[in-house]
Amino acid sequence: MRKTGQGAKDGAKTRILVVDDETYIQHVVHLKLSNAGYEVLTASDGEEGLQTATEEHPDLIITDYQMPFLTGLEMCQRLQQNPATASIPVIMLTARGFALDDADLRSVNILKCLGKPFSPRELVACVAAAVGAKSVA
Amino acid sequence: MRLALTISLCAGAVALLATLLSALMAAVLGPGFASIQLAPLLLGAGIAGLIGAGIGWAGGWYADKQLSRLRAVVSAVEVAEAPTTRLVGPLAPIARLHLDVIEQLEQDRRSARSQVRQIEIRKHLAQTEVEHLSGVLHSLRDAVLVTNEFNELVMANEAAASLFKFDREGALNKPIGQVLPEKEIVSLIGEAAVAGNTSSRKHTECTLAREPEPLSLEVSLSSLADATHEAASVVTILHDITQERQVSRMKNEFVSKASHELRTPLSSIKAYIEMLLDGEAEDEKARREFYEIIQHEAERLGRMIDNMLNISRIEAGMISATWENIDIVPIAQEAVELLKPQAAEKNISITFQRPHQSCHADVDKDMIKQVITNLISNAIKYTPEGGRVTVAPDLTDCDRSVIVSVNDSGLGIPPESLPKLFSKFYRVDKHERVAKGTGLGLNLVKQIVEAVHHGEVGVESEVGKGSRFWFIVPCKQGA
Repeated sequence: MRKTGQGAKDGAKTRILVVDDETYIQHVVHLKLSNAGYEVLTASDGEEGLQTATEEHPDLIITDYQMPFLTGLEMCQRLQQNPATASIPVIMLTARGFALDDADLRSVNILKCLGKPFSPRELVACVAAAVGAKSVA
Repeated sequence: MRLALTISLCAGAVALLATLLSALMAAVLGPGFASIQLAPLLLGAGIAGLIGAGIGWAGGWYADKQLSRLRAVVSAVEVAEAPTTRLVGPLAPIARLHLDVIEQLEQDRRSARSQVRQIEIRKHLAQTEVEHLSGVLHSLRDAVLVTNEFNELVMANEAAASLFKFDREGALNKPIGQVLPEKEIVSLIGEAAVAGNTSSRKHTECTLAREPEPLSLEVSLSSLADATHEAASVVTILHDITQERQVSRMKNEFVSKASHELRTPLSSIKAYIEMLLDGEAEDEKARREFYEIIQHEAERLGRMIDNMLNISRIEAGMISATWENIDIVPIAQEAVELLKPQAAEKNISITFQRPHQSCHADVDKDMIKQVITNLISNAIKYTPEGGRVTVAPDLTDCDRSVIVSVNDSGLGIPPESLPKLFSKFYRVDKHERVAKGTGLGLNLVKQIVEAVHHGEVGVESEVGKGSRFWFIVPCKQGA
C-alpha cells in the first residue's frame, strides 16, 4: 500500500534526514517515510548527521538520542550554531528512560521527543504535523 | 573486737582482786572496752585464782585463734559455774550471754566470709564481662568512640583508631578535637554532648577525604545522659557505607543501561510488526525480510536477557556449575569451528594452535565454551577485514592451570579503557561504530572464569596492532 505524503503536494518532495546508528530502525523509518511520499536521506551517527544536514539542508531531521561520536542532542546544538541549519526542525527518538528538559528541546528546535519503542505510524503523523506547521510558519 | 585474757592467783579478798583485774583489763583494752568476765579457778575446795576475760572493740574482727581462745575461757567459766562449786552462781547468765555473743560473732564471720566470696565471684564475673564486651567492641568493623562530658576520648576501638589513624592508647583522655582531624565529626560529638541532658540518638552521614576515594560514613551519636549533668558522655558509631553507595549507584546505572539496551531491539520488533500490520511491505520478499528482522531482533533480545540473567545469577551465587574434569583443547577447537563462518565473512584467518599435551581441568563445559566463544567472537568483531585471529590453549603455572589465549590483529584497546573493559555494559567509545554489542559479553567471561571457576581473566593490547585476551582456570577445583 503506497501512500502519497504531504511532501509531494507542491511538486518538490519534502526531504527528511533520518539519523540512527541502529540499521533496522534507520531502515524502517526510511521505508515508512518513503511510502508516505517523503524523500529520505540517512546517516548512521551524529557526526555523519551533522555533515549531511549541513550539505543537504533537509526540511526536517529525525534523530536518535544515543549515538556514537555525537549524541542527537549534541548534533542539534551544533546545527543551531550554524545559521544555515539553525531553523531545521527536529523530531527526536530516544530509548532513554528519562524525559529531556522541554526548554533544552525547544532551544535546539526539537519539536517532539518520541520514546522507543515507537510507532512508525505515530512518527509519520508527527512528521506531517511538523512539516505542516513549518509550511504555515 | 579484741579479747584480753588474764589469770590471777587469789591472794586476798576476791572482791579486791576482781576490782584490780577490771582496772587492769580496762587499761589493756582501752576506751573501746566493752565487757569483762571473771571466773574462779578452783583448787580442791578453795578458789585458787581468777580468770578474767574482757571483750572490747578495738577495730577489726576476731581472728579464728582469738575466738577459740574466748570460747575456752567461757567454757572455763561454765565449769566454774557447775552446781558443785560454791561461788559462781551469779556468773552463769553472763557466761551464757558471752557464749551467745561468741556464736553471733562466729555467724557474722561466716556470713562475712561468704559475702567476701560472693563479692569475689561477682568481681570475677564483672571482669570477664568487661573483657568480653571489650572483645566485642574491638571485633566490630564499625568505628566506636566514647567521649566524656568534657569531650575527652575515654574509649575507642581498633576500627576507630585505624579509620582516623591515631594511636589508641596514646589518644585516651585527650580532647577529641586533638585526636580526630575531621572537624565535622568533632563538632557533631560536641553538639551531642551539649544536647545530651536527655538520652538521645542522632543519625547522620558524612564524607571523609581518603585515598584512593572518599569514604561515605553513617554516623550514629548516642548521648548517655546523667540527670545531674548538663553535658553527657557520647557514644559515636561510624559505619562505612561507601560500598553500599557504590552498589546502589551501579544498580541504578545497570537499570538505566539495561532498559536502554533492551528497548533497542524491542523498537525494531514493534516497528516492523506495525509495518506488516499496516501493509507497508510491498511484496512477499519485503514481508519475508521484515519477518527475518523481527526474528533476528527477538533473538538478540533473548541473548541480552540470557546474558543479564546469567551474570546476575552468578553474582548472586545462584548458578550451579556441572563440574567435569575434561580436556579444554577440543572445547576450544569446537569454538573455533563454530566461528569460522563469521571469520570467513570478513576474510579473517582463524588459527587454532594445538598444544603438545592435553589440558585437563575441572570446568563446566558449556560455560567454558561460552567464554572461549565470546572471546573469539569479540576478536573477529574488532579485527578489520583480512586480519588474523589465533586461539591457543596450553598448560601453565607448573601444569596446575590451563590458559587459553585469543590473539587478534585488530584495532587494539586504548590504555584508559583497559581497566573498565570487563565491566558490565562498558563499551570502548571508538569501537561502537565498528560493531554492535551490549557490553555484557566480557563481563560474562569474567564472571564465569573468576566467580565460577576461581580463575583469572586478562588482556594486553596495543592500539592499531591488536589484543591478546586470556583466561586461566585451575586444573583442580578446591586444590
